[in-house]
Amino acid sequence: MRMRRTGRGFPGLREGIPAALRDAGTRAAAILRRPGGPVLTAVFAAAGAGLYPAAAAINRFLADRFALPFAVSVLPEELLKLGMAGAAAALARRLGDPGKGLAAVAGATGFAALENLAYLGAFPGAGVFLRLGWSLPLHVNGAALFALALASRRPGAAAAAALLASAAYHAAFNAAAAAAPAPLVTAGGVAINLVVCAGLAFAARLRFAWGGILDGKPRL
Amino acid sequence: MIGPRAYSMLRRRAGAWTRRSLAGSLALWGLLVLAASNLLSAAGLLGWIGRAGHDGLLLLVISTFPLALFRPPDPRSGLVELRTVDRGAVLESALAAAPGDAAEPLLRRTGEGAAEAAGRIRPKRRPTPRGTRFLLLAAGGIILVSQGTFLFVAGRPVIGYASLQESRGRAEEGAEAFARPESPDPAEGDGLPVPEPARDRDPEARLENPAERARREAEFADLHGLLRQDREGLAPEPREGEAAEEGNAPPPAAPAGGDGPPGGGSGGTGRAGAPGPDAPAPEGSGGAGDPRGTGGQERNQGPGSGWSDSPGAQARNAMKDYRSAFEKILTERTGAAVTAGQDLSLAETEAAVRLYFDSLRLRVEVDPQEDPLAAGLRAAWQRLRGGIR
Repeated sequence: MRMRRTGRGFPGLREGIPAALRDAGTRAAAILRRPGGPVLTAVFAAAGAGLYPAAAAINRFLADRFALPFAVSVLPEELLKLGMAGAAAALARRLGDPGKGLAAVAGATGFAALENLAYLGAFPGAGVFLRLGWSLPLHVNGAALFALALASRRPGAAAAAALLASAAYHAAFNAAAAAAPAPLVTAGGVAINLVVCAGLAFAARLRFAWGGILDGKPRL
Repeated sequence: MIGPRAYSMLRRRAGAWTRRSLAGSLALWGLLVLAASNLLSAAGLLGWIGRAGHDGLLLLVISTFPLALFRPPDPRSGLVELRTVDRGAVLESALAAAPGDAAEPLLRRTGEGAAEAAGRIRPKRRPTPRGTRFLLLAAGGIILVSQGTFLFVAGRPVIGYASLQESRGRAEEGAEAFARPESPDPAEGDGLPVPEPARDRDPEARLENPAERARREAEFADLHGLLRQDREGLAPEPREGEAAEEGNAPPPAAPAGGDGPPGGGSGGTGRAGAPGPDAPAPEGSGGAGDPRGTGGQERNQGPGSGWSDSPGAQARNAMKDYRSAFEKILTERTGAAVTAGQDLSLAETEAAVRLYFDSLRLRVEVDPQEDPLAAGLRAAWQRLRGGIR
């Protein structure tokens, strides 16, 4: 009796809740589709941070069982980042916005941030802040290169070239760091890293905001 | 398709827009990070987080700069920018025209003219979005309020980690230099100068360089000890590398490890005859003889340091030491404006003191007291001696 009254008293309730849920879903989708959406960025940053323990475990596994050159140690990290960039590019294609592929950079940022925190835990001190100009741009540059390569006309070949270039760049910086470089060399490395980072950011923004127009194919 | 002139104009526009967009993103990120850094400093000052937590969070916050640089742009932003200069949609039509279309040559030619006209149009400044304005205002407000609070609480602007506990620790450490066992208790009221306790609460004192502060306190301790030794007639203890004077044991060693309290580098101002054999000479960093920790090197090796460590000088004179130390501090504090005069040499000072106190010297002529029994014995003995002879 009472139940029936309630149903009669609030006739819009049963219809309102699904409508509210649909509205919330639409809003969430809108947030997700928004350029640089915070949800997408956060998800990829968390995924990238989660890749750090995996990369460290793979590196440890390889180092324990094989006498590999030091430069090889960058390959697991770069391959994991390439996989993340591939996932971001696939999502971007599905959403119809190539710029979403830059979410891979958020993943690389999460990866490098967790790595830096691990270093801070192991070596507390202000010296860890130097990694903000050394290792962080290193990972970010690689991911940005992958994102740009995967958004190009021939993503396969471009991604392979980007992987080689990124691995070589990473290995060179790792070798330089292992050689305990002089402060001037360190400053030079940081400057190169940041300049490359700024250049890639410029190229990425130009590509994903103006690419169609400059290619003669504006999306009207 | 568009012509070369239109293409060049579009590239220029695109480059300018990208530069502006990147600069805006970086500026917004910088302001937000500065606000976050201020919040972290405030948390440290309130004791909510320690240095490790502060550094970790700051590392995380600064690590977000790639997110600002590589923020996916709005894919329509280029088109919106193009439409601001291409009012008649001529360029847009030319871009959309497929190669081989009948209208393509006409659109291309018209587009070249439109590009020439569009090149003269200055890009219109777009209003900042409401969300961005809110973020900017919030970040600016946080920075202003935080720095104002820091000025009120800590007495200075704070960038980076700050902790009230550390400031208090430094003040207490400075006060320890004056609370050594051999220092007189100010409560005894013996008239010796005591450091001002309010100095540590002075904002200027907090701004002082720690090294300068340690040196100043060490110098004060030197003067303090010397003055006391002079008054009590205590001979100054030998310095490191000097042989202990007869009857004076080496000074007790300062606690090993750490920098030690300021003034520890003087080797202490222990009393003469203090237990020495169990007090080995301090070695290594942080020991009492280590000059690095407390600025003792300056006092030990400086030619006018107040300690007669100059070659050939062995005799110690507390008055001379005190005067030299006083001259040094006076010169440092007042610069060239005021200097201690060189006319009054040590010999002249001693002569003046002798002349001044000579008038107060008591002279009483007292005959030697003669004991009658002894006198009788002596006389009897002399008589006996004379009889034998």
